[in-house]
Amino acid sequence: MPINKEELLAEFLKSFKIAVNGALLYTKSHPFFMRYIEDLKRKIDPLFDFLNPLKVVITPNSLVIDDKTFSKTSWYDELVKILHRRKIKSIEFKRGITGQELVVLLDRISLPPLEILKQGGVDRIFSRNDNTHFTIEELDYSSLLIDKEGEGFNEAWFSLVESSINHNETRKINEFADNFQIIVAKIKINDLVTDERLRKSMSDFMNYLKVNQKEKFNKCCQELLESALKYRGELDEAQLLSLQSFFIGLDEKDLANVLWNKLSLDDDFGPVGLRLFSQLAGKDKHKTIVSTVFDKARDISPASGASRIKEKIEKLFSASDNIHIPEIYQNMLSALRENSSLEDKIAFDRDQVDRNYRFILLNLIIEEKDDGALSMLLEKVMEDWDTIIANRDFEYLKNLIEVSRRKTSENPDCRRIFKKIDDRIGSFLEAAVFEQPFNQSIKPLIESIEKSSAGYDFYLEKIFNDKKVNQQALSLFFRLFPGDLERFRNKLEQNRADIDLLVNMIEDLKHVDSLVSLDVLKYLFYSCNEYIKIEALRAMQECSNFDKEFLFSIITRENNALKKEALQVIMRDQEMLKEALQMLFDIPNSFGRSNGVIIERISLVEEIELKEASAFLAGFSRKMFFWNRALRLKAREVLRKWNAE
Amino acid sequence: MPNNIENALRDLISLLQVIKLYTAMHPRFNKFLDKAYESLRGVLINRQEVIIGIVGDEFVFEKEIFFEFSKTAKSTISYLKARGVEKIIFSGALQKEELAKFVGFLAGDSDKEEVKKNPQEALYLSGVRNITLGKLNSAGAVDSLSVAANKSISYLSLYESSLDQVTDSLDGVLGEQDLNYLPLRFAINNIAENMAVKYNEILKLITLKRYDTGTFIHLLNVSILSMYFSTKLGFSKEDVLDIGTAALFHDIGKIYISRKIIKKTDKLTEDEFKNMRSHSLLGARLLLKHTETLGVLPLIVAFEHHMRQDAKSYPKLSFSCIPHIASIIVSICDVYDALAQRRSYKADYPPNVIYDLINKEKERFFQPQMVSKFFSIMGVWPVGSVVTLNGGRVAIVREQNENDIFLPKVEIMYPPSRKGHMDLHQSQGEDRIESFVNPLRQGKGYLSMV
Ligand SMILES: [Fe+2]
Ligand SMILES: [Fe+2]
Repeated sequence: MPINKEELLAEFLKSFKIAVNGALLYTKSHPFFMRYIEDLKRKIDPLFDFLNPLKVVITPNSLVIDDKTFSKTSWYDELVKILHRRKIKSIEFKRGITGQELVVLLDRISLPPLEILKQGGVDRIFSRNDNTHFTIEELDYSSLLIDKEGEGFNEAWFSLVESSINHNETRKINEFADNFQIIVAKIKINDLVTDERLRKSMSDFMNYLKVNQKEKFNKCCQELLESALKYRGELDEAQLLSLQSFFIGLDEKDLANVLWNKLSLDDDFGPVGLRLFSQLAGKDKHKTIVSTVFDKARDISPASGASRIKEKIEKLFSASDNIHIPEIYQNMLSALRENSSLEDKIAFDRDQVDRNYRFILLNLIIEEKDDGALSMLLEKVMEDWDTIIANRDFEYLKNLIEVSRRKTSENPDCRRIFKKIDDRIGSFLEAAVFEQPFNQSIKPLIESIEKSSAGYDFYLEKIFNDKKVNQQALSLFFRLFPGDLERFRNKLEQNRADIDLLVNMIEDLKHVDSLVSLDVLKYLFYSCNEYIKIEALRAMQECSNFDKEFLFSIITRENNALKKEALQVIMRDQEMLKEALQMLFDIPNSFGRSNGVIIERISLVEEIELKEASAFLAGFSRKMFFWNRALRLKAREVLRKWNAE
Repeated sequence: MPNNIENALRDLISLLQVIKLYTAMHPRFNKFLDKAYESLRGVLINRQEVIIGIVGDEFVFEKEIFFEFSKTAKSTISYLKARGVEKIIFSGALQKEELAKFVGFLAGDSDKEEVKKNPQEALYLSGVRNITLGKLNSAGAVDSLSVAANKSISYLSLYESSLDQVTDSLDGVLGEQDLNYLPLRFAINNIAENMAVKYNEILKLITLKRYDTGTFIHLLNVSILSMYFSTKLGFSKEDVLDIGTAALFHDIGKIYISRKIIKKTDKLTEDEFKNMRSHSLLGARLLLKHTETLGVLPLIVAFEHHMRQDAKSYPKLSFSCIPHIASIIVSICDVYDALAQRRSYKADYPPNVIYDLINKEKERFFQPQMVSKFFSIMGVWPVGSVVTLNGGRVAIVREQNENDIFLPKVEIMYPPSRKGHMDLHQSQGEDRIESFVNPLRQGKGYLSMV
């Protein structure tokens, strides 16, 4: 029994996730679900000695409890996603929470997100109940605005901003302002000049900032301008004027800032954008803007991509022929083209010295015929090993592997000389494969490993003791030790109670997707509890290999929950599905003796919408005799539902 | 005794080199100071003073001339002579601090007004009582530290002493011996410092010396050109010295090979030519043993100096990388100097032809913008070239014009009536260079004037 807070928390989260999953899977009266609830209650109660209330905060990619962030594995991911999609910002549990309250909580959470929104959000669906020992907080409106896409956006913006301003809700307005860059990207400039309501709410918002928060006004106004300059369409005089009015509050420095950002960072900024800028900026400000832009160009350091900017300006200049741009901006462009500070500065690069030296070593190694000199060259490479590793120079490691391969295939005697470096690379890679997060650039290197330098036990140690399991490590392990899974299985057996580990492993096995990984999934199915069985079957649903015999044994022998999952594996192969349906429905049934079983199986295919069963259902729906009535009705009901969709 | 004094001299020279290269703040300095002071004390133990002189190119102590030792100390001797020092007197009560101040004084900026006027007084004022500087034939102190009367001779001796040093170092590498880095770096430093003040003098030497066919002249020329080029590119002193040192070794592989196949007057055979082209790989291989002392840049430059932009470079690379800027600089200077040099298998080209040749090939061989940078600095007509102007005049190129690489500043030599300096750029196209006068043939008579 864990006694410290951390362990209790981990236990609680594990149980909570299983319960949430259970709620999605089973009805609330199902014995499995009730078992999960009991477990959750057992896990949460001792926690209240440390945290009361216990508040679980949900961010877009992690859970936060007591200032601690839980995001380490895909294990929490799914839970986070489920809660976040339902716009739940936090859940607070208080001491004394009853099993019944937990049932209510999980039952409502398990409603589909759309259903929750239809009922008015989590706030609504819970306020009607007397849930005295837990509180649900809904996501902020601003986050709502940030997340919102497409059609409803203008509406949401309008109502949220107007109501915040009318009620003088500074906190909300600040949130909008801080996230304005994301928000403004969703506003269509066309709407801003044509949609009167949007225009008004935008200028209300800007005016509010201008009066109350000058700094935020500057920031937002510049961001609005940057966004507006992306507009490619034509604007008439009146529209221009109305757009112009937004930017009157910006001074020359701010405007120059925007222009420079556009020139130096925005690859899509073209002559049309420059013309629009000149129209929006106001004639009297042009001169100061241009000279400020020059100052910026002069101060630019070569590291910040001076030559790239020069290229952009070159492009902009050559494209500006057909578009009328005020002379002063034309001149600015041509002067910037001549500006020498935008040229690539020629510099002596000390890092490149080391890089080139290492590359030359590779070339020398390839050419070297003398064993003594070869050893010395490899010695020199080893001197730089720490730097190579510290720089994460995987490209170099790849080349090193290539060199070793080429030299030893040319002359097998070389293997002796290369052994030390081969082992060093091998051990490094085999350790690196367990690092989290997994570094994608070592993937091709791992594929080149032919034999293990670290050994079998290293893998068992990492996977089962350090619990550092991931897809690449597993597939490397299976590849290096084929047909040698006995001790691995024993370890699995010993760890069968560690749901965390097993769930992670199943997720990874799914991605490994080989015959070996399928075997391991089957092994897990046979040796673990119901929850793991389901996870294993779900993983198989996404694997390309399957074991027909194994799946058929499930749909004839196991319970409905498992059957349902197994069928979803089966349905990916039409031939196999046909056979399976035959097996499920084409059973001896004189005088309707098997009707009960068949009806149950119809419910099963109904639940997973397995319309391929229609032919059998049609047969059942035409069954005569009164003893077949229930079967007939069930079949018809399902068929009607399917046909209606 | 002479052995003792020779050791003391050696330690003293090392100390001077260390302070020039690393400054007195470097921990290395104290180590060398202790050693030099110890040796000097050892010599001073039985006498009131020790007088060391420089006669011609040799160190002298009492009746003894250190012929052998002086050979290895040429850079230092020319360094001291350039500062007018011909005699150094150490007195018995010499303190370590005085020695430190003394080398600091020698390494310091000799252009300062008060130092120039009276170096001995300046040394005295800085608190040094037991070391005196002097001229050989006068009992009194040196009255001027300004560079010796005949400047060109001084630069020539600088060039030649550096050449000796380069020859020694390269022989070291070729003979698989240890390499003494300190004096080599000191020689390079010496050139770089003089170039900063009087680059035209040094550049002129290159133009002159090119007609000397000695093996190492090319290396020193490329080194000097590379240092000049990189100085003009705005590189730090350390970077410039590194490039200069690296340039010295760029053809080490070629020399290694050519010592094996005797010099040919006919065109080289196909096979030998192939051999000559793989010298970059061989050079890198040779220099691998000296990375401890030389660092890795010489190896990189040796390997990369024939790399081409169009990827058809030799050596054919299994693993390619972009050549380092140092290699690009050296490769341009290399081709430039090689084209100008007379070889047994090719003619020497006049500067305008070299300019055209390099420009024609620049897309293929180099970074084109680096080639234009090079000529904008060097001009088409290098300093020291003898040229004919329109109207039958003969002139010597004295200085480049930054904004017009074709029209430098010249000194007219012939006809005598029109002698004088002229900026060709100023004359708005009326005066122009017509041709180059090869100093080995028609131009022999002008050689002394250059
Ligand atoms: Fe070469
Ligand atoms: Fe060369």
